[in-house]
Amino acid sequence: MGQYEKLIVKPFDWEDRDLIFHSASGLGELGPLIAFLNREMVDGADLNVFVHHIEVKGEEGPDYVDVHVHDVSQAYVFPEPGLTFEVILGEETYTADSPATVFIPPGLEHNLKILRGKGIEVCILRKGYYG
Amino acid sequence: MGSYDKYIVKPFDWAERPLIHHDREVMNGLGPLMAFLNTDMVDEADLNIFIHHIDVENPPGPDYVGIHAHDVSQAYVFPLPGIKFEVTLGDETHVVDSPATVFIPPRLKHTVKIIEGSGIEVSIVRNEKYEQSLAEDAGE
Repeated sequence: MGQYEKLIVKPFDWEDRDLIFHSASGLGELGPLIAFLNREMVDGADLNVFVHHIEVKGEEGPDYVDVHVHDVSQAYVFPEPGLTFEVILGEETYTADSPATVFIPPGLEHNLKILRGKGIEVCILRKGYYG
Repeated sequence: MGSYDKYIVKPFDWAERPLIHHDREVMNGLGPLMAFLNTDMVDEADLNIFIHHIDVENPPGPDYVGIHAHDVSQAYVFPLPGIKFEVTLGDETHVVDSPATVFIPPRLKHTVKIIEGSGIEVSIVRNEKYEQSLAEDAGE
């Protein structure tokens, strides 16, 4: 085992752990939220990465996150086609289709709702923990 | 059109554009490299995000990136199963199956090679433009 093996980590299901601003039941209804990187997985990590596996089974996905704000920037990345989402930025609401990226600068209130479709969302926060 | 629609961007194929230390022709042979976020797409962005769509037709995949380092941290995220990759960190080489994350602290020399499989790799550099993050005395 080398000194850098600690930098390679396997993801795990966040399951019922708390996530501030978020409803675990709403998140779970869409699909598993998988932790890919945080400072507990890698000591010193200054990025927090979740991958949410999403499948909207009803007419419209649930509300699962309150309008909130971070002190660092964030990005929602939807790598593949197949999802339609609604994002609130400040007092503005937008609907967009994947693939797409939403960049959220520090201090900007935001929210996200998955309207329909199936795919993954990569959520990146520019610090080592979500908050 | 509101004040914030500039923050919602569509990815585009990096195509033949250069990427320092990377052999773009060989890289494109694995599949398209898509730019998802940089300062050309969003002026204020302090994250650089690429997604490489990968399909290794003749394993093992080719070498396409030289050893290099950045002044800031980086993460390789392989979100889905289906890819085996080799990552060099300092003088250590590790072979890993996706899903997995590799976190690369600032100034740690590194490279990656896809050995087999198909899927996507998300590269996140904690800075603005990729080239601006490169450490001056690292590399060849």
